[in-house]
Amino acid sequence: MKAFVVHKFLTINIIVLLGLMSCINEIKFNENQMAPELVVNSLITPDSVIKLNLSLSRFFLSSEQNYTVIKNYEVKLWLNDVLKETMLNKNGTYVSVYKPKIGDYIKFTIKNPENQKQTSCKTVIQKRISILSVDSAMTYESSGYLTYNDTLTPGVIKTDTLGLVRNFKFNFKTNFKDSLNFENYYRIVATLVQYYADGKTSNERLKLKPDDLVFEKMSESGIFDNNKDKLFNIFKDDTFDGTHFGIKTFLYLKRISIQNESITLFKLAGYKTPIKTEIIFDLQSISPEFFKYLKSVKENNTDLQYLSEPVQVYNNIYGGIGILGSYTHSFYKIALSIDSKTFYYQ
Amino acid sequence: MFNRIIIFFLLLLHIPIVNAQKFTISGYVINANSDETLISSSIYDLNSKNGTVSNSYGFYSLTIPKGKVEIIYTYIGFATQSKIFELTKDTIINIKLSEYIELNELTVLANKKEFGVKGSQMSAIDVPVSMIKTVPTLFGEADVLKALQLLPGVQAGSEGSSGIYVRGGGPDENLFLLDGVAVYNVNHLVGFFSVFNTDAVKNVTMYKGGFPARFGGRLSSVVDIRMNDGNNQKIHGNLTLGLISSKINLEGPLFNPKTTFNISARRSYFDIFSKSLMSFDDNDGFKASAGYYFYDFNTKFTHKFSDRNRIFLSYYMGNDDLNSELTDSYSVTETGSEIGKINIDWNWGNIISAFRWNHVINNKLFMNSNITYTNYKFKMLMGNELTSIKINPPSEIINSTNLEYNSGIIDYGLKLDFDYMPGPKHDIKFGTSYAFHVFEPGVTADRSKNDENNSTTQNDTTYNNSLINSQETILFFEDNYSINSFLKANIGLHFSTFNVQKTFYKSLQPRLSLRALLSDKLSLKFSYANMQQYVHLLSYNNFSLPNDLWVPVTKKIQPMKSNQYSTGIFYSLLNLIDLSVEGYYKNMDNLIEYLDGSSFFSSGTGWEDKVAIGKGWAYGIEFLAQKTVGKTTGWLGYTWSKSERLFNRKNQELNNGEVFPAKYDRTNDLSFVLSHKLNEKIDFSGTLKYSSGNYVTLAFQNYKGFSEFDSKLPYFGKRNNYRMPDYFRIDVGVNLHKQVKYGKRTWNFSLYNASNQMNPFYLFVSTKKYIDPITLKEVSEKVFNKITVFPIIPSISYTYIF
Repeated sequence: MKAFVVHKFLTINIIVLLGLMSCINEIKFNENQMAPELVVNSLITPDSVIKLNLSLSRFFLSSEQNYTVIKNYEVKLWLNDVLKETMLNKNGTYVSVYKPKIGDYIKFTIKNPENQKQTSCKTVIQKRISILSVDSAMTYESSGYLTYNDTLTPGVIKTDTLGLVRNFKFNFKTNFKDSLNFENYYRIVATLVQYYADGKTSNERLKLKPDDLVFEKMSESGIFDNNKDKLFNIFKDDTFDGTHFGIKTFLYLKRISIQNESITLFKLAGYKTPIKTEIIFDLQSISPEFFKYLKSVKENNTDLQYLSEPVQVYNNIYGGIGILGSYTHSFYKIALSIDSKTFYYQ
Repeated sequence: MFNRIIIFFLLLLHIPIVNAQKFTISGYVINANSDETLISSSIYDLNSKNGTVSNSYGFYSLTIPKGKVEIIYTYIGFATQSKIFELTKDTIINIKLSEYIELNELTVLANKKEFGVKGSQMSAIDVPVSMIKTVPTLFGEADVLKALQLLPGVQAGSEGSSGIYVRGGGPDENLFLLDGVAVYNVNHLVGFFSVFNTDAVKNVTMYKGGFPARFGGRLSSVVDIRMNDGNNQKIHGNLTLGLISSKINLEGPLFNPKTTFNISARRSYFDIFSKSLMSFDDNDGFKASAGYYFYDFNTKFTHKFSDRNRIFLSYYMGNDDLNSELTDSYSVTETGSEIGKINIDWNWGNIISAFRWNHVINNKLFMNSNITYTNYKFKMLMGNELTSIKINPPSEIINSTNLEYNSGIIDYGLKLDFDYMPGPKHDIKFGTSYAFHVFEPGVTADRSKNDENNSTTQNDTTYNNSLINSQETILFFEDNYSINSFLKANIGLHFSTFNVQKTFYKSLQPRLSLRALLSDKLSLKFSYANMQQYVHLLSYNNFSLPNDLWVPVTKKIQPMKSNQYSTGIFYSLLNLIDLSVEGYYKNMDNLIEYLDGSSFFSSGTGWEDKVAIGKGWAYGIEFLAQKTVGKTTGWLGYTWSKSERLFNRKNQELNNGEVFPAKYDRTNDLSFVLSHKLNEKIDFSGTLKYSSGNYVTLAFQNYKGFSEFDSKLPYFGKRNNYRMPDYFRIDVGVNLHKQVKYGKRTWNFSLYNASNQMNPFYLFVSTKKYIDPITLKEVSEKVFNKITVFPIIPSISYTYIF
């Protein structure tokens, strides 16, 4: 809705202000003068192999849809300033053998074999901050019936009721102990995991909404924030350094209760109900660079490009662009009560 | 400190009574045709070689030795008058000068006393209103600020806009004074026209540096605009019909010659004539209409009780309204339809009023007291309604959103200042003022309503930045002191305080201008000015929009400060052409800019969190050759300059904390203005403008990010990383005058951008589709475009003067 307002607002004002008198002419650009930059992207987490992607930036007028992936550069991994290994190239993704540990000082040097130009970047693997507990409260919001068009009878379109949809608001407080005298940066994410009788699981990344003042003010565009879906949920410990803290979040979930007579229809349509449902919280301790990167990505609100200063997305690559960041996980599960005829979705 | 300043002032009041052998000649210099006072006219005694100039109210005072005197009164465009008599006592002479065309050398020399070779003031210029009226402009609408933009050291903002950027400063660093009252918004039509109606204007003086101590509150310039008082002899007027607006001016005595009035009104009719042009209907559900108008109204009443007492009441009101409505019916299918409606209304304007009392305390001391009021409001309404109709099952859902944004500033002011002229060597000005500011730094109301099958839910949220009250006090003193025939200095102090949110700021700002007269035609000057500014304009860089927000300094946001050093050489060529070369260096601190990604829309968080604080510096060289008398007048100005910014405070970094060029940093700027009066019936004028292009920030590359966050990211590199193509424009105009029954009529024909140069206003990327001639398939290609707002624009206007 608001996107609609903003777009039309811009359109109509440009028509009013410029439309009648203006002329539009093309400006020719010499693309050769705008050499592409090397793009380095890697997010490192302990106890996992490192994956680093290399590509080239694209000229803004290029009609190419894909980015050029770099497959022939030499990428060296340095651990605490000592060369650890040369990373293996797997179709443009450079993979390490070494699995980093908390506190590691990781550096990459990337060399272009043609001109020997070197690019570098570095990060430190963050200390893990464990979730101590998650307090949750569920509030009923509203309900309605799940309907569908019954097309089983040819020529007849009929709306029928399949089940009851109840909307719930879940409030969470994720408790942890911040480390003292250390500038910590955090990100919190939540995933809905449903376990089925056949051993399969489904994961749905939840739109966890901030409900705490410590969350980074991600955008100043306020009611015109078209990037509201970019819920990165990042925050830092300025106000609670070294203390026990509970970060508040909330989300909405729909709980479907299938009517007895509709179970067959559901199964026919390929749906199945889980035997167990959990929300898994992941409190990530993220590197300062990763924090700045997420903040700037969020602020890069292209829908406000006419009304705000453009945002330079943070990059920490010397001699290139992109991001090298790190994060450590701390998981915590809470189970949602279900029965054989219910399931959740967002 | 304060007590010492008061004592200093009191001591200075005793300077006069030093030499009993001198007497004072005082009075007003007046236009004989209208009894309008003449500002900055020259009064010069040929025998004692002493002189002075009339002040902003036409008053002068010259104390010279007794004996035979030969006083010459001169003013540009008026016949010189002389008075020869034996000075034996203090004498009052109210002199009336008549308009005249041919001027002799003495006239020229004397009248440039203040700003020319002999004056101590530098970096300042008087722009004759007659010249402003002849400069060809957009749609033939004479414009004060457009004329100022043609001066060296003064840059225009975007194409066609009235904003000015002086010596590398920002758009908020200019103090516009209309009869001594600050004007906060000087733009009509999103900056294409200024609010100053030239019919109501008597005098325009611009200071770019070397600021006298009586001025303060802005870092980069002072534009002092004085309104006409009104003819006290008979009713006169003029009516101008232009392409987009018309205006009328009426002036004359009210009941008796002691009371005069001057009324000017102007309204655009773009909205009326363009109604059909601004409406669009594609007959497929999409309808759009838009309109715009502005008006302004100036009035001034004066009453002369006696030669010693006069009162003035001046009032300005101006308003702009930009509105548009759009209806779009879409997704019309068998199952339903959606109809979207949008209406937008922008409204902004100023109200300015001043009550003034001029009192001649004695023949050496002149008092001016003012009560002032100024109010600037901006309001934006955006309404949106989306109706979804479904056939099966039947339902109607109406979602409506109304967004309202308000901002503004109100000032209540008191001002008392004195002109004290104890002798020919001293011209002292001192005074004080108090202003109560009420800032409304942005209120956003979000009203939404959801009506689903007659079940309604509503939301009414106001994101409010609370009103901020502040008090500003000023105390100033300056002495334009002729030390000897070689050295002259204007020495001053400007002391100001600002009280806001229980925070008290104060500042003592020294000012100095020095002139060394090397010969009658050649002088060297130096000036230093320390300035402090307590208000900021939150301005989004790409457009000059009325939503630019005036905000005060706060506990968190410190006052802006600058130090400007200027030096120059001034030469009078044949007493007809003033040549000057000036160099300047200015450093600025506590400048503010929006943080990356921030916009004026409030989200409930304060504006203070949206800005970064940094510093800047600017330097340059200006060359000016100006001819203000004779049949051919005009000027040639060239500026080479540089202006840079550094925002590197923690968490407020712009451009990664590295130096970047200011948006309006233009290395080269050349202006040529020429006006020639062929005879009484025809005069021509033309301007040429060339400058380096504006800076913009463009993402020339985009790159791959993480798909989880944003897979396509722009890469800008640096802020203001691209300079638009150079700007070039030639304007020409001709006025055809003819005496007609009861008056004179003038036809004005002008061409704005006569060379049809496609100057860039805005840049954007679009997709061009075409059929490949070889493959005969449709091909899409991204292209980079520039919007030129004003190609060649012919205009015509008709003026009837009676």
